Amino acid sequence: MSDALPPDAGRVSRRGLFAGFGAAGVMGLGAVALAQASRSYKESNPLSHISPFGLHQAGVSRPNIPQQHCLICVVDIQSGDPTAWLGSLSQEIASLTAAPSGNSLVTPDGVGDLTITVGLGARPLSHSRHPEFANQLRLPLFKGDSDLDPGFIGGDVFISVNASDPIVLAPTLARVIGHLPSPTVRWQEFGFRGQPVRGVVRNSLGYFDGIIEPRTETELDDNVWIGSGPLKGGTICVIRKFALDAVSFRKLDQAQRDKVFGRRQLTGAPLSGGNRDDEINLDAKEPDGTLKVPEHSHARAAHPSFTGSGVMLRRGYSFRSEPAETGHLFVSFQNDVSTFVKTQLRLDEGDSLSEFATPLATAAFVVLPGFNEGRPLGSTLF
Amino acid sequence: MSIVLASILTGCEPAAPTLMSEVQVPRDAKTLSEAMSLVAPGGVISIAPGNYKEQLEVTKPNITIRGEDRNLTIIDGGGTRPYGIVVTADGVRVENLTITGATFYGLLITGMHDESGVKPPGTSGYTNWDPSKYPPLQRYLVDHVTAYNNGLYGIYALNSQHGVIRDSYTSGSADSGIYVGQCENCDVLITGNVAERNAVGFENANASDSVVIVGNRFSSNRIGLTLLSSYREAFTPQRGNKVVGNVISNNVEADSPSQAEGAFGIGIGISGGQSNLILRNLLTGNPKAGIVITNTEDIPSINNEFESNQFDPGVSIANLSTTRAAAKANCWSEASATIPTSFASDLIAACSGSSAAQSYAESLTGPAAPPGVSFLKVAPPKDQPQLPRAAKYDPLPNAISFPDLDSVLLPDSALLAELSGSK
Ligand code: HEM
Repeated sequence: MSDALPPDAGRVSRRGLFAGFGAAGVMGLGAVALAQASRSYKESNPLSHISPFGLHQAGVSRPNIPQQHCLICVVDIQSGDPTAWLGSLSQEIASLTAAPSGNSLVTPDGVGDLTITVGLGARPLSHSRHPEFANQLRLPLFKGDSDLDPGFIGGDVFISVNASDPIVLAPTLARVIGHLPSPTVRWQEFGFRGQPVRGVVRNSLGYFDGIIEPRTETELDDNVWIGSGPLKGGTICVIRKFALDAVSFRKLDQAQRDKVFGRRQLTGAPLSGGNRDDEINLDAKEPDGTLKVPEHSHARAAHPSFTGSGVMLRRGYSFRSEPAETGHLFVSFQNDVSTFVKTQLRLDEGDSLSEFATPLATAAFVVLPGFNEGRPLGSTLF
Repeated sequence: MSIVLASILTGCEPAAPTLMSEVQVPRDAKTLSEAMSLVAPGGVISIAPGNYKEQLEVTKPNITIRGEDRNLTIIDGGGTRPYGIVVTADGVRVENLTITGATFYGLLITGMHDESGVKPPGTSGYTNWDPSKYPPLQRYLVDHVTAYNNGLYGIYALNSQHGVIRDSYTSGSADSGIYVGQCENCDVLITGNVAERNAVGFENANASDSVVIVGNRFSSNRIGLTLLSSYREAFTPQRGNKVVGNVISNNVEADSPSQAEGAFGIGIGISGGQSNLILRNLLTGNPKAGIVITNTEDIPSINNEFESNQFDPGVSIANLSTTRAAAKANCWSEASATIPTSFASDLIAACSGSSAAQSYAESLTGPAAPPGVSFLKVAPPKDQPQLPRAAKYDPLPNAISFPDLDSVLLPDSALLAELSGSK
């Protein structure tokens, strides 16, 4: 066992004691049908056009498999007149992502699958007609966050520009930022993803990432989209930028690495058995009582059943700014911020993966409801 | 099966079997499931000594399942079948027999079932279980049952009300010997039982209100007794149990499967448990701590009362709760030797009404947990006493009558010790 793995049982950490005793699955009875996240991967043609319009903004559930590249940017703004800048921003997004060729200066060879997604942070929301929403975005300081420079905590506006073609991201972002009132960029990062294998990509530690996700319309409605009120059709986005210590991680042997995630690297299958897309059996044990999916493995630590929370939509990217700064842009969408908060608090108390991850930035935003020609972004708020 | 098929083919009805008020196995029925189909509701299945390599699902109400010899009537899962006996009908008694070698549980009593069969407990997946769809099973009695070397639980009552588990014995369970889970107003009495050489002796997850655990021996496990809130089942938080006059000592047993989270050397663990009374228990020989309280995620351990328990000097109660769900209002008027030390004054203050967050420690020290032993290889129990056959099996009562807890004294370490040990 490496030092990075959970401490031996002689010292029982708080969480190592008896949290999470569950009942066992009665799989052997053969009469059990568990609710499963949908496994249907409708692999969209990566370059098919994604409409910017609709009940929901593009870039959250459309395309269903995230594009391979993104620029994520967190910006502060001066107050300005929100109706004015959100209006011109909406027109800009519509024109940049219009079929078939968008803005020919930015995408001369066609718009492809370019999407632009916009969110607002607590401060601009507190000046809206519904300041109460700002409270939902105040995240507690999680493990490691107190070491962060305040410039990497929160922010006013979130912009994610995603496309298969990495070349179009920067000019697109520049045009979007141009519509914000006196923008100051807090931070931005270029993110990339591997090639999907049956709908799922590997992250920079080499593991399939994004297996358990809400996929069907119902799952998205239940877990991701806000269902009523002025934010109907919107969602809450949490973004956490983590440095990952891939060097130390790779020093673990294969079995130890798999125990960090609770899944096999080669196949993505849970350590409780089955195939990649089978639901994990958290109760499975070896005859000597050892859990097959270890207590502190990421898949167990993050599992929503322990916190009684919903399933978040995770659309994370890898990044690499320099060798010393390699990591994971964690991006999740959920209709209740507590889904994220409860999970992160649980991870903070015992997640083997966290031993290799250091937060570099943290923020939450309301992803505004979708827009169309007659109804610009933010029209229900300002 | 083949009879049904033949009758479909020939177009005639099979003769409806006459249901019997008593079925003797193997005299009247060769297998347990055949006995089940022959017995009339309210009847008795009496099982002769033998090794039954079968799973029995009890689907008719008010049945008594009785072994003729507690030690020789054995339902044997052989280390391959998931369960021994599953009770899904109301008013069932199981008595005087042994269940071993099930990969999941020896005896399961559960209200979690419908036409399609028994459901897995709790929320194993990503959707929450709707308790209103599964009304709890009513009335059960487990008496003089031995359940040893079963993969998860020995005796397990889930989503069930008005039950008694008494004078039974469990060992070698890779999870807990006896488990009561997921019920409100449970009305359950757990008494006179021995659970040893299990990962956990007795476990309660989300079983609340009238659960009385009195006069048992939960010694020589890795952890003696746990009261837990779990989001993985319905009815959080766990609350309102009475744990009185039990021997919960020496939970440092190496001949036992590992506890899932590595626990060892602990008497009682309370995780997100609330308003429980822990009174006059013998909690010696638990070197990490006699009692540990902690939180389950955002559910704190609050309003628990501890009085007149006996600990070893130096290791009484430890608080490992995190600040996000701080322990509060847990009271022990004579607290001393707590972990951390300052927790003692917090416990005392809580008895006079303080509800301030109580001091906590980060971790415990103590002996490392030895490697787990396969549940099939844990030493089997000694022969256990027989329960004489009753003259008549009346329907089980609608409400449990509990012993007068005021008259239950701090037990001697010899309580039920004659039943403990191995062959
Ligand atoms: C440090 C960067 C992280 C990496 C590299 C990472 C990677 C992974 C991987 C490989 C899986 C297993 C495959 C899958 O189901 O997709 C997974 C599952 C999951 N992760 Fe992360 N993760 C990270 C951080 C987080 C954070 C911060 C959260 C939320 C607070 C989170 C929440 C989840 C959830 C909910 C699951 C699904 C668990 C299940 O239901 O089986 N992860 N993650």
